[in-house]
Amino acid sequence: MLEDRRLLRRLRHGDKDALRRIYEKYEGDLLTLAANLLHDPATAEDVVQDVFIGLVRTVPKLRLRRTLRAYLATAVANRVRDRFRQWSRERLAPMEDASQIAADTEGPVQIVAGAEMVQKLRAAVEELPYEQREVVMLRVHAGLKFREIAVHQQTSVKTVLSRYQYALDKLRSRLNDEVSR
Amino acid sequence: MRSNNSIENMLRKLRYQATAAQRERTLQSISHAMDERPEQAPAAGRVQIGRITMTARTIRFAWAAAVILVMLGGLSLWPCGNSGNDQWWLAPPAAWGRELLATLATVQAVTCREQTVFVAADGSQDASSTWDVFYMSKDSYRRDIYDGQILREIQWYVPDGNDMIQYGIRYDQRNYGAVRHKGSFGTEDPVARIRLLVGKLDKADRFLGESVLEGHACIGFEIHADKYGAYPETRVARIWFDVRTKLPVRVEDADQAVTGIMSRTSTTIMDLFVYDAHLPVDTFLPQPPPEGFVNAHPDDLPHR
Repeated sequence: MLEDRRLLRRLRHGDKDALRRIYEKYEGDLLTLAANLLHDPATAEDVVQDVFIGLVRTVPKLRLRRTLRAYLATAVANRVRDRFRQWSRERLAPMEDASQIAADTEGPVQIVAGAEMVQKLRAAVEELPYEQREVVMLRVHAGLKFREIAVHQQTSVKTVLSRYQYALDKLRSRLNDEVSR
Repeated sequence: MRSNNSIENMLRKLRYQATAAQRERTLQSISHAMDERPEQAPAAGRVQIGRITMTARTIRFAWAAAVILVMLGGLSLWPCGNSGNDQWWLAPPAAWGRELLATLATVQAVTCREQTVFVAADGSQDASSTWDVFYMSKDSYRRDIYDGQILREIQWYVPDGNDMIQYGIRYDQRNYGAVRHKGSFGTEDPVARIRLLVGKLDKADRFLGESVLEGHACIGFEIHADKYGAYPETRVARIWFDVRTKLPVRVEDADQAVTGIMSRTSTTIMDLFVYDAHLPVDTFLPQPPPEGFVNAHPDDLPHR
């Protein structure tokens, strides 16, 4: 936290090493968050880049009220929502084509750990309603508190907690089904 | 049976990683954006009056005291002058902000148009060929999406218990579908977006003055988007109210970054509002799909 504030201060003064440090520190988590929300790794990379460009433009007047990690994670989630809204409005890249675009474009690589069960989990996550998926990913990959997620989703902490529990129950049920088949 | 912890541990394994080349490319783009920053903060050692003033604790207390005195003294930092009913916006915003929300709450049905305009670095603009017409009630809304003059798609968002169901028909793709959204639809709902902005008016950053829009005498406000979300500071929302009815006439979500094109921004504009419109009773009833359409709406796919 203190280190982040120091890095931000240096970034404000145009220190590119500080920018590199911040990028290297958070890029992996943010990319994972965006890719899991979008299911489109190539677009996820664009989103993360946009968030960092936003940060360097905003940093002279940025007053952090929470951790830098939480700030960046929420910015990613907002950008992802913008992307969905944009797709939905303009159908620039219709949803049914998104996986094909991802397959055709050079994008970040997915880290396959635990192989088969993780792939099943990934498929199950894709089927979660967006609000639940967002809660789970912000909690697990960005470490946001439920209170912070509630502010982001403009809803109550209770709703966020129930979305989280519903999501885990669904994932558990899907995985148990797979095992019992 | 797996516990929450074991599912969370498995979820942590759903990781993605950029290649070294991609990382370098992204870092270069960000560094480039940093070089393009209009002005950078002064170097650490350079004298800057504002910073020295506010970092001194005693002066900080003095500032706080001054602000309290101004508030107690009833002075307003907002454009001051006549605060009578004819120019209500000249009164302190906290008072009329609540009034505007209350006025909005009385509206039973409203329609409006929404369109996106792209702005290039040289200021030239081009509008998206697609545009929407929204029909909104207290708890439902419908969105008709046009491509030019052709109605391409209709989406209905209707409550179902505590959730919301989105139905959609795409005439160009000859398909339809439905998807359930847990809880409300949040700020995707245009009415919720307007309420959110109106609720933030007491924190408006800029008074856009009086103007005539669509034949209505209006008053406008600008709010930086970082006041209602983690958005870049450059992004702003603007909202104009009819001075007589106190209802929104135009809403702009401006300076949104266009992914991959740094020199362009987009602005989403809602206008042509009609309040308490007499809508046909079946406006919010999803229409059955025409014959031959298949159940495969894009929003129904797992990518959502």
